[in-house]
Amino acid sequence: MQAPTPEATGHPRAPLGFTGTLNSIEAMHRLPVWIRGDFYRALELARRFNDLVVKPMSGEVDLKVMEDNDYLPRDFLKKANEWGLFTLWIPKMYGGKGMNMLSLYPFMEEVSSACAGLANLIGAHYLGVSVLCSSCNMDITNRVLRDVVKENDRGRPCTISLAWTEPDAGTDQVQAPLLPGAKVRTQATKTAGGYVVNGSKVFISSGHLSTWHMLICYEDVLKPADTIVMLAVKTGMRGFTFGHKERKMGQKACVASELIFEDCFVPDENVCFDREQVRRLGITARQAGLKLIDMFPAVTQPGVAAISTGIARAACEAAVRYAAEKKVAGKALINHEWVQLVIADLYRNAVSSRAIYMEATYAAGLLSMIRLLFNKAIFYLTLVTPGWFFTLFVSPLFRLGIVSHVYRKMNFEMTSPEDERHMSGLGSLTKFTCSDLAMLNCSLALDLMGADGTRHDLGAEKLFRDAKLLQIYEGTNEVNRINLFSRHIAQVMPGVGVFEQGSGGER
Amino acid sequence: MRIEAHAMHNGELEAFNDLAESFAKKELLAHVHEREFPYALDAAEAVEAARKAGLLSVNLPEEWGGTGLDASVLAGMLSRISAVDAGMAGILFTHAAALEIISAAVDRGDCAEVCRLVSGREGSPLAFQVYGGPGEIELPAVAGEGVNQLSGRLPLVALGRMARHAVVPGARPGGEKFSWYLVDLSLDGVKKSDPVLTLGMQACQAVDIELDAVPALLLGAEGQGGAYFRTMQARMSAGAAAISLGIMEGSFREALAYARQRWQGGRYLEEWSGVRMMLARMAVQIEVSRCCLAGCGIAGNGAAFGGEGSALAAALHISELACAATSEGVQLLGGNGYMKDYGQEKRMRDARQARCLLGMGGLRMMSFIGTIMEEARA
Ligand SMILES: Cc1cc2nc3c(=O)[nH]c(=O)nc-3n(C[C@H](O)[C@H](O)[C@H](O)COP(=O)(O)OP(=O)(O)OC[C@H]3O[C@@H](n4cnc5c(N)ncnc54)[C@H](O)[C@@H]3O)c2cc1C
Repeated sequence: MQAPTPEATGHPRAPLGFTGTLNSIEAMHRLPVWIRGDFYRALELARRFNDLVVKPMSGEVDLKVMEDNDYLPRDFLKKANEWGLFTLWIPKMYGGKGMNMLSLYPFMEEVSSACAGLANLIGAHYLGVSVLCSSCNMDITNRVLRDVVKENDRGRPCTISLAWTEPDAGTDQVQAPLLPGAKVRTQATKTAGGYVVNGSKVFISSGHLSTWHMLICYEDVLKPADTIVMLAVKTGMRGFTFGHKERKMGQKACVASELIFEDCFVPDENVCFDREQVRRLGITARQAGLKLIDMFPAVTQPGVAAISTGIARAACEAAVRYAAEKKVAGKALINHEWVQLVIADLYRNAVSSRAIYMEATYAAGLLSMIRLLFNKAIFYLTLVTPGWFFTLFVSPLFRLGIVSHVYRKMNFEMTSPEDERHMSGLGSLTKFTCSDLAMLNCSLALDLMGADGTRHDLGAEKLFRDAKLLQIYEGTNEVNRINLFSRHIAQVMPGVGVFEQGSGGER
Repeated sequence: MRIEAHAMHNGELEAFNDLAESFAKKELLAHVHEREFPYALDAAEAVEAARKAGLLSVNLPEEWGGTGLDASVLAGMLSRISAVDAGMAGILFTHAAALEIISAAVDRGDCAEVCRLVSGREGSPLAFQVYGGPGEIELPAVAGEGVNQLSGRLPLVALGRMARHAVVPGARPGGEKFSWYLVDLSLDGVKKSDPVLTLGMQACQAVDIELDAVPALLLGAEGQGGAYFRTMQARMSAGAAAISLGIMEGSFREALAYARQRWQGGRYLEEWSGVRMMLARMAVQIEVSRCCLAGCGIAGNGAAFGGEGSALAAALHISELACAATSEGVQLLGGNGYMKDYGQEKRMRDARQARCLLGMGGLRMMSFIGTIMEEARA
């Protein structure tokens, strides 16, 4: 009898690649040493921002939205803008202050430890920025981001949202294998000088508060995977209106909006990505489109993980504070051994969570779509070059089509499939692990605090409501688990497919 | 005499449960969210309907004009109501728990005053610190002989706003033991906060109360508070477990219905084996919880009552399962699960709140093992 082939048994044909996850060791010598200081500067900034802005507002905004779901925390946006937070992490070449993007993660952790909802108003903006950058269309990226900088400099908060999810298509859209069959409805029809968009988007974080919206839609809704279009839509454009605001369980400060498009004309100059733009790349429109939607989560999901870590930490801190103050049977709760065991777990979860997302942070600097910014030569050159130099001499070059073409080629064609797989899987792993740990910590903390944990005025219950969202947005945790399996495990296992390929489902 | 669930025919028990279910559907379903913060409606109307349906007197002794059923019968009813609105179940639970303290404390032959106060046909439900247990709640100080006067803070008194009377603990300064008292909340010296916003079961509004030398009626013997609490806890733990079970059942039903009609990835959600596994986990948690409750003599199938400890253990275990299951219930609806347009996020909050019924979980665990160890020593 013949021995079964590896293909037939599905045995791995290569090791599962755990060694590929030692990003921090690689980062030690490949990333510029300057970023270390940036991390501390970002943390210091976040702590001051928390003390002066976030903490005094957090509970109040949460309550206001509960009382009036139409309330929008514009004051916070104004403050965040005064602190320069909407432009601090925009690269210098696009007119921003150019703080290294990796330092955004610890910043998000710190602010989220005070309020995940308010933090997400900043996070959602950088999600929009990342998606815009992932289009690799340097002309429109430059124009939109410079507009953001200009408006913010004038004291008018200007942020970007990502508009992707539709009423009938959530998970469908975020996973490449599912996109071909997705029931999407937001259609961009090519017309003279641009696209006409019809359809709607839901759950869009910070939608009502944003000026720009990165709209991902489709030329042919029956062939979404082949016809992805990304448009930069500005609030106020004809045919574009806001619908209802969702009544959410938590993260109430960060409005989740419905965006409605009725014959909304978007001019060619606002087209970030479409089939035409990638025609001359050496890959098909489908390959390019799927790469696009695969690329940015690797950068944005560690952000969700950082928010998660902030909550996990806050839950630990709330439990410790409470246990130190609360007397039970005549003795401080914290002096009961069983409580100390719980607190050790809370602390362990927060620290582990940070270690995990920092690993993904290093990987983003080494392998993701922003890796070029962390090439030592480019990094230091950018650091010492004044902003006006980019405005006067570099910015005009972005208008040349060839610049975007070359940049796209580097990102879409020349990224190794191994790196792509690694980053995509790692993004997923980071997102679902840290958000699960955040939920776990909130549950442990509430268990420890008993009824006091459920009081709004003591703050811990808000953490619990806020944390649950982390398991849902940026792809549900289940789908991210499948993506991790697909990218890090199935990839080296012949004959193993995901999304029940060929099985027709378990009926 | 009290009639316990296992002493009743299945048919009789079912009739009580059906009563609760039809009450929930008729009186509660349409306005569940409006009884939540910021309170478009308060719960008074629903409470009045519950009173008319006899739900406030299920465990009120017959000789005081009640139905005289054991709290275990109430548990089945609470689970049906919780599947629709755990907040309302919380109201019934609070009142029933206060009644159980009174029943445990008061000799019925000599209780004319208490009987008059709690059995009035027009009477409002009783307020009670339903989320606290001994050792964790602050005790107001008791002064005076003959007429007892209470001073101090009572945090999170459920129904404190709507109730006329509250069952509250108190202790004499320096005394080691505490007692229970009935306090008229309309008296001078009673200061109530605005409703405390709680994570879940918001229809069952709680307030913080400050007492300043408020006259109070001692319930039972002085210094016996701990014993009365344990009796109440043994009787009401099944009710607490039942609330958690009801919440879980509601969550499962909504998740199952959603999975059958939500199309994602080229098929209905229910056809993904990953989704089925999540549903299966919830279903197993519910079945296990039902078995636990049946073991406490709740299911009306005549199963033997496992003693005080079993209900306490069931409440601890089932409330934990409910927290996990309701989180999964939100997850199964994706983004919609997080929104108030669906019932799942409320259930997830309610399940957390229900876990605090009758005290901090950790302390209940400690007292549970304490009892077992004492028995082992004896
Ligand atoms: C408050 C909030 C803010 C958001 N912000 C944004 C934003 O800024 N921009 C934006 O574009 N989107 C945003 N989203 C949308 C979010 O990313 C989606 O909700 C998420 O992708 C899940 O999609 P869905 O809600 O359609 O759930 P569904 O896709 O309907 O999933 C329902 C359930 O089924 C499971 N499931 C689905 N398919 C499978 C499968 N094949 N195998 C196993 N399980 C499966 C899911 O895991 C989930 O548990 C936000 C959502 C929320 C709630």
